[in-house]
Parts: sequence; structure tokens; C-alpha cells
Amino acid sequence: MSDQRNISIHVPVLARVEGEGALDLHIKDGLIEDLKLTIFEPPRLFEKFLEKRETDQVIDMVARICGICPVAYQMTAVHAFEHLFETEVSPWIRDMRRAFYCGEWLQSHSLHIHLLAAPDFLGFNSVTEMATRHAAEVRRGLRLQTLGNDLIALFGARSVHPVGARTGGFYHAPDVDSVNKILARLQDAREDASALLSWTASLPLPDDHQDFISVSLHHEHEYPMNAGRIVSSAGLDIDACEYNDHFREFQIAHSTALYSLLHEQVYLVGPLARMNLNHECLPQEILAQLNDLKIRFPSDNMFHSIIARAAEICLVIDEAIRLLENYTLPQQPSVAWKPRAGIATAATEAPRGLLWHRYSLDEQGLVRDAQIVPPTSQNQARIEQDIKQSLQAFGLNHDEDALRLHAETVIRNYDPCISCATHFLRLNVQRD
Amino acid sequence: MTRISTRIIGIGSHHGADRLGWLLCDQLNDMQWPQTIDIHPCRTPAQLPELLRDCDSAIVLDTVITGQSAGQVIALDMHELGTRSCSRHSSHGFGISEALELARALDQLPAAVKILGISVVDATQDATEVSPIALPAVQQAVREFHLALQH
Repeated sequence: MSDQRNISIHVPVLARVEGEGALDLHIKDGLIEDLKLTIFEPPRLFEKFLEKRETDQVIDMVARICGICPVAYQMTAVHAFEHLFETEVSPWIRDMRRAFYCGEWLQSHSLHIHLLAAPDFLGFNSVTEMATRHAAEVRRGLRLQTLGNDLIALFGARSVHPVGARTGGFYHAPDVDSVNKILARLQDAREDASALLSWTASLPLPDDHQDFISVSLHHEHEYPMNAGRIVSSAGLDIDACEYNDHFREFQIAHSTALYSLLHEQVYLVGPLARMNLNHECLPQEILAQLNDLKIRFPSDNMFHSIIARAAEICLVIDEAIRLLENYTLPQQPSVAWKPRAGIATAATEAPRGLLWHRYSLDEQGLVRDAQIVPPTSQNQARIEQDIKQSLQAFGLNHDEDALRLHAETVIRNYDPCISCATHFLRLNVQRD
Repeated sequence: MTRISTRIIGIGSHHGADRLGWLLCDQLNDMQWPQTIDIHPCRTPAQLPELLRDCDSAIVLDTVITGQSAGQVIALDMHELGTRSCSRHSSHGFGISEALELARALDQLPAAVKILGISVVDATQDATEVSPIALPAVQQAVREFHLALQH
């Protein structure tokens, strides 16, 4: 087949991603002339809904932005408000928030690895097909996902749109018996997590090396979740309150989700970016296993994202065990706080990457205006750049079905949440 | 621990008419049932295979739009659901049909599974209560299903 043909590919609806979008690809004289990741889901206007709301209402409302990562939205808002109100929380609250967040990473990463990404690498159309040949692996994935959901529910009363978090801490402390039951399951799951990491490292992942900037939180003493400075592989090192001085969000015609650039450059957020910038914070046992598996971070192979997710599953299980094994009931699950006017900002690490919030509050603590920058909108420009580079490396002479599958594989590798970014895929390929 | 004979799984969310699956779980929970019946709200079909793993039979409750009046209850078997999948409208393209097929592929599908679709007219309209027609119909369907399994 000639490399000089002109084709157009249109993928009308992308499968196995959260939300609705499409991909239009125009190849002319054997080169990609135009590529658009079109996000057509209507804007969800959450930021506007938050105006005139009290901070604790905001915490419950932002959880509704995403059914997969509500904890990330709640934790980011909580930290923004507490920073402005100069609220000092107890070590118990800090630890239990991290355990709460561990649950979300565990369920979200398990869902993505098994139901969404792995079938692509093993040549299956769906997890159901994959289960006929890899039943034990799928069962393991579902067990881990359920454990993550149950860990969220321990603190949030339910796993989807949890309601346990508040400014100053939690509404309720889980009882010792419930914690001990989860702790025993976490201890049992350590073996599953380690086997999962080895399995992801054995997958036939494409060898696709690219040059990109990684951005994530970085914390001096721990793998980042709830706290840290925003850093990049290009030398950025800022506080969350400086975000708008360095990152620019903007609208483009083909997407209802905003794009975002760092110093006018495309960048990556998410598990691979996080692992690239923070792998040294991993526990020694996980580092040793990665070393045995001959996996090195930082990695410039975007498809190592699935291995990064599995390593983070090992991490969150270890972390949750550490945080819960000496659990005692606190005197109070929350501390008092007083509202004040000002600008509240915070960033945390959602499963899919850096999540940044900014709120302007009045004297009563009511929201004047809000700005929420989710991971998928930050990754949108990087996904388009990656598809372009990946398809060129893959070979544009492949037939349209192969090009479509490769493009979808690249997109799914990011675990895009279009519901968060507003919401995804149709592929239109046009060859002239 | 009592072995779960029948698990009733209400699929829903906080949004619009989709809330009905959870409201039904709440109301069924307030009623007297044998200890071997377990009632469990569920947010996404991806959670179904794990919920089906340790029970002998299951009833899955979900809202449906069929053109029938609100509150009508439609009972479906798995083979009927296959042709009616709406996975394009489900989170991650993974609907009830796909979840049940995955449970089957993993050999953790209970011997008997019934799907009860509760008809709504407008999916965007908030469900604040279960219609007076739907609750007794679901209650009756659960009793009949459970009784049939005892024989």
C-alpha cells in the first residue's frame, strides 16, 4: 500500500472511556495534515453552580463532577478552604484523608487497567473477551477495585459521591471493627497487587518513546496525593497559588473542554508523570520489584502508564495498611474553623493526574467565583500530540481499522475522563 | 455467615430518574425479608460481577425508557437483555448486559438472574419517590422469584 494515499478516518464514538468525544484524522500525501480530538459533550457549568455556596456545600457538590474520582474533587476543595482559613488539622485527619484517597486510586486504577486498557494490549475487544483467556487476572482486578470502593465507603459512607468529608476533617470516624476488617483485606491484597505489577510489566506494550514534559505534585517526605508543590520535568517548582501565573487555559473551537498549556508548552499529568517525578518516594519493596522487572522510571514510553498505575496500586495498598494498622478512634473527627474572605487554592493528585481548584470567598465564606482545572483537560493537547507521533511511528500505511484501533489505544492509555473535562470517541479519517 | 440466596441489586445514581434504583433499595430494605435475601444499591454495572459472585440468584433493578407509562415494571431474562443493551449510554461503554456477560465469562454468574426494568418517561426528571405502581410490583416479583427458587 502506498504511503502517499490521502485518507480521512472518523471515529464517531470512542469506546471504553468515560464521556463522549470523537477523533477526526486527515492524512494528505502520507502525512497527518489535521488531527482533532473533538469533545462535544455540553459544558457542565459546575463552576457557576458553586457560586454563593457555603464551603461544605461545595465539598458535596464537587464530588458530583466525577463518579470515578469524587474523593479527588472533595480533597482539593477541602485543602483550598483550610489553607485560606488557616485551619490546622490533626495528624489523625491528615492520615485518614490519605487513606481515603488511597481507596480512590485503588478502585480507579484497577478499573482502568482491567476493563479499559489491558484488552487493547492483549488483542481483545473488551474485558469480557479478555476474561475468557485471562479470567484469574480479571477476577483479581475486580477484587482490587471492590476493595478500593470499600475503602472509600469506610470514610465517605458510600463509594460513589461520598459524603464523609468536610472542611476541618470528617463528619464521622469509622469504628475500629470496620477498620480492622478492611485492614485484613488490604493485607491479603498485597500479594494480588504485586502479581498485578509483574503482569502489567509482562504485557506486549508498544515501544513508543516520546519527548514530553511531566507535571505533578512533589512532596519532600511522601509520594504525593494530598500535598506538595507543583513541579515539572522542565524545572517548574511552584506553590498551588501560583498556578495561573504559569499555566494557561483556553478554549478551542472543536472542544467543549478547555485546553491547558504550561509556559505555552504541551505537558502530561497522570500516573506516568507522577511516577517520573516521584519514583524515588516509592517504598523499597516496590522499587526492588520494578528493578527485578527491568522497568525504569523516569520513562519516556507513554505506554508505561499502565505499569505506573500498577506500581501505584502496590503503593496505596502499602500506604493504607501503614495508615490503618494502629487505628484508634479520635476524640473528634474534625476541627473547628472560621471562614474568611480571600482566595483559596489547592492542588491534589487525582488518579488521572493533577487537579487544581481556586475559589474566591467572601467574609461569610460563600463562593464568589470558582475555577476547576481537571487532569483530562490538561492532557488534551498532549493526547493529540501523542496520537500524531504514535500514528506516524506506527505507520500511516496501515488500513483504517488498524489506524483507528491504534489511535483509540493511545487515547485510552490516558484514561481520559471527559465527564470531568466536560465528558467521548468518534474517529473521522480523511485521506485526500 | 448466612449464605445469600437472592441478592437484589438496585442500579442507580443521585441524578434524575436514575435515582429510582436506589430509592427502591431503600424501600425494600424497610420491609421484612428472609435473612437469605440481601439488598444492595450499586452505582455502576462494573460493580455487578463482584456483587454476583457470592449469591445463588440475583434480581437487578434499573430504570428503563420503553414508551410505557411511568412505574410499569418489565421483567427480563439475560437473553432478552442482550438485544437491548444500551452500553453507548453507560459509563465507559460498560452496561448491565456487558457486566452480566463478564460475570458469565468469569464463571461467577448465579444460576438465576432476573432484570426488573422500572419504566420512566423522562430520564432527566428527578425521582423523589417510587411510584405507587412500581413498589408493589417489584415486591411481588421479588417474592415470586424467591419462592420459585425454593421449589
